Amino acid sequence: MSEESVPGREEVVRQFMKHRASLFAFALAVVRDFQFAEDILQEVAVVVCEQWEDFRPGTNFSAWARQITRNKIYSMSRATQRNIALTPEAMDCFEQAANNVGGDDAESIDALRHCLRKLGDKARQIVTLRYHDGLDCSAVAQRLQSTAPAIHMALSRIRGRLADCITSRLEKPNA
Amino acid sequence: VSGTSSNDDNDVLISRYLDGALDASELAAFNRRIVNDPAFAARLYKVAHLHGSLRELGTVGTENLYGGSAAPADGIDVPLSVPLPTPGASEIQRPRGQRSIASAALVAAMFLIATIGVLYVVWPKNAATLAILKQGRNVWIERDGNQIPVTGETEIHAGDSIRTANNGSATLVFNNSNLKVDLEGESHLALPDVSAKPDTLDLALEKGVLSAAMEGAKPAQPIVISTPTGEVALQNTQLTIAASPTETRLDVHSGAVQLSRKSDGKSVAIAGGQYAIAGNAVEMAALPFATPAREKEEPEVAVAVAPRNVEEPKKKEEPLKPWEMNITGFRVVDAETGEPIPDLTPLFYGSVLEKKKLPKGFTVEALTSPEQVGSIVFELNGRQRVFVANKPPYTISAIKDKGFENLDLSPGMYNLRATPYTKPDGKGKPGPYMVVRFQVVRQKGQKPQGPPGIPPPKQ
Repeated sequence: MSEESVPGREEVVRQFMKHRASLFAFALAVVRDFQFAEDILQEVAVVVCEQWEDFRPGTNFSAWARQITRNKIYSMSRATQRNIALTPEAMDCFEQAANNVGGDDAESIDALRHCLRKLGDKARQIVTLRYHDGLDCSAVAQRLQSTAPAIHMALSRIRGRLADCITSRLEKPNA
Repeated sequence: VSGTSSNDDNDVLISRYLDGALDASELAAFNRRIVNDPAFAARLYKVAHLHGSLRELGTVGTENLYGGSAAPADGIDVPLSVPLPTPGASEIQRPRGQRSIASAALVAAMFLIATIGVLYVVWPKNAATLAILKQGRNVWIERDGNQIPVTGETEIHAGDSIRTANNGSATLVFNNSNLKVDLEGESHLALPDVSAKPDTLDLALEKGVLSAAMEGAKPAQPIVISTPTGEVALQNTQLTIAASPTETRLDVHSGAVQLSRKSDGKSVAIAGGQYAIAGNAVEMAALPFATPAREKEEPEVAVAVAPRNVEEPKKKEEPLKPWEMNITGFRVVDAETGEPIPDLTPLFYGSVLEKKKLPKGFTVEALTSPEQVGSIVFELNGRQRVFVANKPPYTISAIKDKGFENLDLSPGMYNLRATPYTKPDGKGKPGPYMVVRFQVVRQKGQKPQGPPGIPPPKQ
């Protein structure tokens, strides 16, 4: 005789917190607005809290929560009259890709913290203006007397190097 | 993720997409690319993840972006000639989006906790660090009235409390000593504020199960583990403490320690291979786990058990009281024959099960006192796998016509908890449980790869 443990509400909420960064990334990739993505995630949290019993133990929590996030993206975009840049077909493929990527949010953030310390002066200036000061690329370009395409290029390279560093860090934590 | 030029091109495209800089035709091509190129869709997700994480860290402050460190001369940089930002550059106000009115207080609290969790990971650590949380799952820290969920390596400060969920676990390595502590699920360990008791490291196990191992040189300060009913001063030893509000069970696997009962100050010395219980309803005495003598008596017991099973229902015996039941030890048995494996009888804390030397199938049996109790509930690695045995021999897998089902454990670390209950099917009242931690390897010298892979229950 055997029985599987059934997660309670607390456990489901904990799972939500564990996958919060991934869900935020999913929403952010679709709506491309930090604040709106955050608002969506708060609504997702409400649904997770209210409908935790719908989650079936043994199934993929992040896929379940991502489905809720997708529904919220659609409903909240309609309510606020925003356009969604991704077509439903692209959204399906993107959701599938997100489900396949997985990973541990806490470990990634820890690795990111480590990798950020390796940034040089110029990279730090751009990251600070973009992510600390919240400027968009055009404003960063204006601030640094550069051009928006150059900032896009620089930021994408910084993120690429950080992504490489994070991957390497997760593979070899003591490196 | 690699830094190829192809990725660079993709990243620029994704960067422009995330900034809303693509025109209609570019956006249509972007959508087609996502549909036709799964790697590109995955890249979008990864970049968005990084984008979101950077924003989350950046919102807090530049110290959290760079950990307060200066930029290294040979650090990651970009070939962009830009002047240094002017003073006050970071004072520009961030554009604020519209907040949803529907944000409930509960959700705000959850986000506060989650943000604190991120902050906890990234914030420069100034408080006294007592230990490092090396491994953990479904574990959180209570600090200054906040609950901080953590995974991965984390610093533990004086005054912190560590709690694990029912399927959680945590491993702590303490500074300035050779003490390593493993917390099982549903445990609560409070660490002292050093300033309150400077001469002693006093750990309070409020509830749950803690396994401690301390080897080598004497620690700089005495280490005491207290529970609601007892107190143990650690020396060079390996032990497991199970605490509830009314009872403390101490199992000593190696070395020797003293268990004191808080209610009357009575204490008892416990050596390796012995256990004792500190509680009001039990006599405190050092008792052995399973003994070899029991093995020798096995055939006689087997003869005696058979008729007893038939007669017992007629006797209408008084049901056992929780404090009358004890788990006295574990042993590994051959699943085919049901015979105990001598080298793994008893199965000690820290035992290594070498699959190459084990029979094809094996399982673990809990030995009880008395020999028959209501039932035994086994929990393997928290509550990842739960099994209830109603009749002796109490094994963690089902009894077949001959022998048992193979436990089928892949290489890894395992914590097994066995709890006796007064009634069948894990019903009635629970008695004091016992925990054993063991390792499964393919052959000696090999470390287990990754977390234990527990196959799903077969029934």
